Amino acid sequence: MMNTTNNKLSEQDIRKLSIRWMALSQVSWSYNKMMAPGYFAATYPTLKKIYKDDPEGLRESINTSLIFFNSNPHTSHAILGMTIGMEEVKKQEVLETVAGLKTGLMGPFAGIGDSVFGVIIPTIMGSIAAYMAIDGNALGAILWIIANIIVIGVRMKLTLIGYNLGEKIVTMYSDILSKFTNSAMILGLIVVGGLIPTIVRANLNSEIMIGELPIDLQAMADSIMPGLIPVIFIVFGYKMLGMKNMTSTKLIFIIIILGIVLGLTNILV
Amino acid sequence: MELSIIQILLLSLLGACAILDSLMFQVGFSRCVVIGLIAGLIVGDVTSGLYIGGTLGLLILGVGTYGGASMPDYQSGTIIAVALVATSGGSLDVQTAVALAVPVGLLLLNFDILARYCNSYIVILIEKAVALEKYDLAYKYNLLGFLTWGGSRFIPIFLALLLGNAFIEDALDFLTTNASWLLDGLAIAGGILPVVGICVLLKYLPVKQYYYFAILGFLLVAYLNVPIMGVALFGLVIAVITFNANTNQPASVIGVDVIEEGDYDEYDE
Repeated sequence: MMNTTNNKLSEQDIRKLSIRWMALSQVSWSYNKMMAPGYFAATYPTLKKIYKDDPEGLRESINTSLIFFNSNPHTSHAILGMTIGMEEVKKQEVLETVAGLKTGLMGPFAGIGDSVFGVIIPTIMGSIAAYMAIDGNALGAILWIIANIIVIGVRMKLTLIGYNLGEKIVTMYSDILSKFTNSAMILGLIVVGGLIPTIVRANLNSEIMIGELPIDLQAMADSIMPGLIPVIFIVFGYKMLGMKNMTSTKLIFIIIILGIVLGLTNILV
Repeated sequence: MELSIIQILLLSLLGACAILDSLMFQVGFSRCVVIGLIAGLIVGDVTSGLYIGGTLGLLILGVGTYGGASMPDYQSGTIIAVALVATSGGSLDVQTAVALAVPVGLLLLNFDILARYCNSYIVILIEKAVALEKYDLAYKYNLLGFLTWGGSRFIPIFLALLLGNAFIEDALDFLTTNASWLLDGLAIAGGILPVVGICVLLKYLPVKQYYYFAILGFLLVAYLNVPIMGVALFGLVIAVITFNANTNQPASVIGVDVIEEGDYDEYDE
């Protein structure tokens, strides 16, 4: 297609995308949307190029970029590259797949990234730096900075790898894309289900006093079903969002007030 | 020795740089040992700076802020401790300063939570701007996060250094005795707030059609304590099964069929 070659992103575009993700991914991190605004901010200039003469496509794509996202900032580069690669070729046709892939991959990528970049490297470099520092030697701290600069290079490379892979997925498998979308969404749903008890932190008071008798509310809830309280909140939130005139903004304030009230009454700890 | 206003400003700025670096390029300015080194250079006592930074760094070796949990702000604690040692004129040793930095870090954790709450408001602004198709404005709103995050470190460090040791203790007392209900309530609400993001995400996924996949993911975590990585791998297997079931003749099997047909043809002849 002529169109595709005109819109072809350069390697420079992908490099800029990488740098924007590093700079902006967590700048407006919030409890409700986590890295979603960062995803929007990092991809927005790239999306503007992809959907140059297509305001409707741009609108849909931006709304997809703003869906809930939280992962490891390092390994997310590959997800970012992949979704951009797919959107460049197939435009808004792949947005459902993009949403499913983002949701399905953010968990496992966080698992790998947090252990490699969040635990292993900082533990090794950190202990070297700390022990040298206690002896008054700054060399370890400087070595750590050098290691971090190498990691930045790795992050840039990951975006490019993801980008090439994303293009390959949509061009090679274009005939079976709808089935691929379906599967990506199923993967996304399974991960979201798993996220509910992992990411929602709500513990009932385990030693509430009813008269003289201590009652373990959390144990009671657990005996019905582990993760019961997070599920109740999710069902509550989902129903609320389905109501007329309800926005996610209003829901935030409802949840905050609910949290303070449940904390004051000692139901949640 | 009294700190000059320039030194106080530089140390407060270092605190802002520390949090922003940890959210952005992660060059290393968010590491206690590097902060100790730089704070030491600012106050002219590199050895104490390295010792305090190194010791506090060991306390949180390999501990990251995953899934949006806040952790004690030992980075700002390091800065304040280094400044206190420098101003004490030898009456405060580095070990005591380290011990002091721990409750300071715990207190400052609340500013981290506060910043994350302020960012919820930024997300509201971003979503409003996107709804009105003012994408450039939404992009700019995202940058407001630099102020909330930076301010959440700059302001408390600046005030603490300006007002001194007695102020830190008074503030600690006041917050833990009079305002603990609000701090606890906000922490609880922070734990539940991801509900909003997950619910909005569920609206994007085919929950009505495939709700049972989300239940599966939930059950894997709730009953079997499968880590999210494992949930994603189970999800991947199910996604592949569904994909193959949906495509009548999966690509790999087609190839095998062709060869077999050829073989049969030979036998027929």
